[in-house]
Amino acid sequence: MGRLDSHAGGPAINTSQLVECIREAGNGNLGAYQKIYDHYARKVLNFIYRMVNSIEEAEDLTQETFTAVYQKLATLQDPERFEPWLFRIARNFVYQRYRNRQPAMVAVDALDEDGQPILQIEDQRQTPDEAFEARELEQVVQEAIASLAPKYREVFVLSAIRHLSYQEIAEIVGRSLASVKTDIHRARLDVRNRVKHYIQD
Amino acid sequence: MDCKSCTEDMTAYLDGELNRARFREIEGHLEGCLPCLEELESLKRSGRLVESHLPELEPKPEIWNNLTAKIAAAQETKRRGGLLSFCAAHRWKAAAAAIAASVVLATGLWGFWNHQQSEKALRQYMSEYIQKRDSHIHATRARASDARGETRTADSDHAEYSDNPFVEVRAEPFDNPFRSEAQ
Repeated sequence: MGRLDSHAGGPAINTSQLVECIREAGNGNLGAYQKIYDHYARKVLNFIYRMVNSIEEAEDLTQETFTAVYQKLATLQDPERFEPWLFRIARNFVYQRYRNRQPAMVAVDALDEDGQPILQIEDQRQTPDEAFEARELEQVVQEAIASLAPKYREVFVLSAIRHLSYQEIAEIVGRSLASVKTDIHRARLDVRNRVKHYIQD
Repeated sequence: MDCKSCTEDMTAYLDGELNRARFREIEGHLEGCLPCLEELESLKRSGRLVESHLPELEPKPEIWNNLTAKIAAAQETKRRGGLLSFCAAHRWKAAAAAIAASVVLATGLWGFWNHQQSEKALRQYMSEYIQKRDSHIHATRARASDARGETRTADSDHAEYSDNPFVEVRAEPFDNPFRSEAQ
């Protein structure tokens, strides 16, 4: 995990600059597209990484996503809705890749006999005295997210880490706003339950 | 409002996704409910923990390099494919145009040949007709002068026209304008 870094985003780009870059990139300007890429590559890469839990797969799918985005850019109706559109394409690549094989992203133990996620999982692990060391906490957080079923994991990452609006998330995952709101809450409760030993006073 | 209803909207409350009325309801409940306040605090802390302890991958330069190479390759394929598919898409039109041109050319040639043939046939017919007419006139006149006991001369055939200024009197019959070509 040597290449894992802190939480900084890509180079800043405001909405009007983004719209201009999208217009130019849609006309085949690769330089303009690089600005868009520099701003979003990290966000997309980490969203995919959280979904597939493999660095190699995440890099491959990020490359696929940005190649497809460049080719489809001219068809984007509303450039101001670029971010949900981009994440939707990334998400489609993730699901496409894993459609025909048993995905590592489905945590089998998180489903009950009806295939429904078990949300109130009691964390049985003992809390060691040294568990508050940063390295271990990172491990705990990553495991907590990885244990979510894909349906909950995607809305968790998009809301709690990417801070997208519920409306944007509903557009990305193609579910209703009410359903997304419920799923986000359940995912947060589940992650909280898995890390609660580390957040007590 | 009960605690269940409050808890259900707690994440949306933290994310600023509630409308003003609902937001105030939750705030009102939280003021007087310690368990819900603790639940809220617990969710806030877990959110902060996740954000501060979730390391992120840094995109490798290879991702950009590979995808630009892929885009360039796709554009090249599209350009070549575009030319080939243009030819493929229009091959029936090209074939139809070639057939149409051949038909027009063949019809033209056939028409020209046909015209030449009819011209030749007409000239042949006219030539034979004039020849027959001349020999008939000559024979008729010869019989008439023989009957009158006249001695035929080369000019006698035309003697009756000798005082007519509009008739060219000549010993030889008129040239058959079709003869040279028809025979």
